[in-house]
Amino acid sequence: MTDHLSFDHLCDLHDGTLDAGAASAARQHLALCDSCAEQLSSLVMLENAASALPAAIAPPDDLWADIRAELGPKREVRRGFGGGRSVRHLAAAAVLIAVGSSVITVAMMRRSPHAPDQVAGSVETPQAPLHVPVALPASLASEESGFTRSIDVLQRSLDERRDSLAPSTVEIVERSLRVADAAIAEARDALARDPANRALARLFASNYERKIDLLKRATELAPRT
Amino acid sequence: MMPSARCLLVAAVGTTLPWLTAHAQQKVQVARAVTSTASIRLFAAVGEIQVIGWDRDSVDMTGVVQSGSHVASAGGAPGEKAKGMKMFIEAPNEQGGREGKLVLRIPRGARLWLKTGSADMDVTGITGGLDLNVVGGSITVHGNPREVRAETMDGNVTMDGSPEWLRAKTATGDINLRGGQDVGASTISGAIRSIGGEVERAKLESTTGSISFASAVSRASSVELESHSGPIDIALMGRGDVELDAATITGMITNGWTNTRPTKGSEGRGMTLMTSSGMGGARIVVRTFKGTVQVHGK
Repeated sequence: MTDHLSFDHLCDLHDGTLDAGAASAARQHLALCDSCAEQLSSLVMLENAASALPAAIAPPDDLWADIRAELGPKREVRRGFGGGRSVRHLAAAAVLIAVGSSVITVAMMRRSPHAPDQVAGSVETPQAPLHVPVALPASLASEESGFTRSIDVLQRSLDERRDSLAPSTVEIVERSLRVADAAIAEARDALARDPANRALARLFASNYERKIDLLKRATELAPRT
Repeated sequence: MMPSARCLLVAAVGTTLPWLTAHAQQKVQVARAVTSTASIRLFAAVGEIQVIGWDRDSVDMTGVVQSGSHVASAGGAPGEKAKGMKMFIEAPNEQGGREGKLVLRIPRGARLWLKTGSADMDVTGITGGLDLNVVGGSITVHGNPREVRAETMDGNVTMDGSPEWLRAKTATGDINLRGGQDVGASTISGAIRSIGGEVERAKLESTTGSISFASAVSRASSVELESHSGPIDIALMGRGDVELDAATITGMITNGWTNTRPTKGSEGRGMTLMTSSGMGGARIVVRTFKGTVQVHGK
């Protein structure tokens, strides 16, 4: 057996990030290859050892009883490499939705005979306040719907993990999300008034993509970071 | 009433012991023979990590971490060079994850996957691949790795070499680059600077952060610069073979590079600039919603 599975491939299989076909092929190989099976076994043992660790190492009771009484009970933090499996699945699903939506919309926009090549000058000044949503044309609304579905999934994942992240990290993420939201609202408003503007549509989509990417990265952060 | 010496002693111990306990450190020493292109994975809760590429087929990790940290590693069968190695350092508490320092030596051609919370990472001498992920710390990479993926939330990413392939992402942190063959950089509010070096393909994008581009381009280069409100500054060689296509929705464009004047939009908002120098060839596309665009010579 010469074509062994790479270490990254084994890690991805172990972490559950391979697609179904690749995972199936890897398992078939593992059934025949003792060397790769042994490597995978060592990875499993490493994770088991890490997952079996206590969530905290408490000071001896006789020394710190008073201090602990002052601090009160602390919430236990889930740990280990495998803790985010459902989050990864949700994140992967969200990214697929976003990418699929973007591809469809870009294809539709490229087919449009009225799409102008240049951007400047054709945009009217936004008349409506930014916080009032304005209806977008169907193709753009469809694209936005794909983005917002992805965001909803990722946001729920992030909300579930919020308590496991450091407060400073949560603050950074939320501040950045607010910045992204403001940019999306502004681009959206302008796009509602100039829906044929391809450059503006691209900027609008980019704002969403950066927000989705930020959310995806936030859901992949390790606990207590 | 004066406190007794015993009370003072108890108080002193009571106040210093927690600090000493919290800051006590343990040594880390992990060594393993690996192949020259091995995949190395390290998850480490620590304050600082230095990665050094060396000309040996082995991994050597030394340093100190907070006492009570759990250190684990796995990789390959004993007695043979491992093709992969996975290491794990877990601190006993959140504070412990910000303390200590590790020095990790790996083969130059190795692929390194490194994830941590708030460590400042400094990587030098790697020609293989780097996948670096940190939340609050900075990432600095010296040299010319084949490929780099560097992600932080509020730390800065600094590349002082020219990787073949680079993807750098932050939320609020800045990204500083020196060119590369295929470069992508994205932030929400951090600044992006590509100063020096040469790029073949680059996409630099930020929502509100500024973008400065002053790297050299070849005739086949393709560069995209995009922001929502961040200002974009472009410095180009006067005699380069470059086409520039810039457009804003509401922002101003100024051109000090060629004699072409930017065109205003019909409603008096937004501008476009299509200009070139030399024979054209390299293409730079600039898009911003309301950021200013400034183009000038080097």
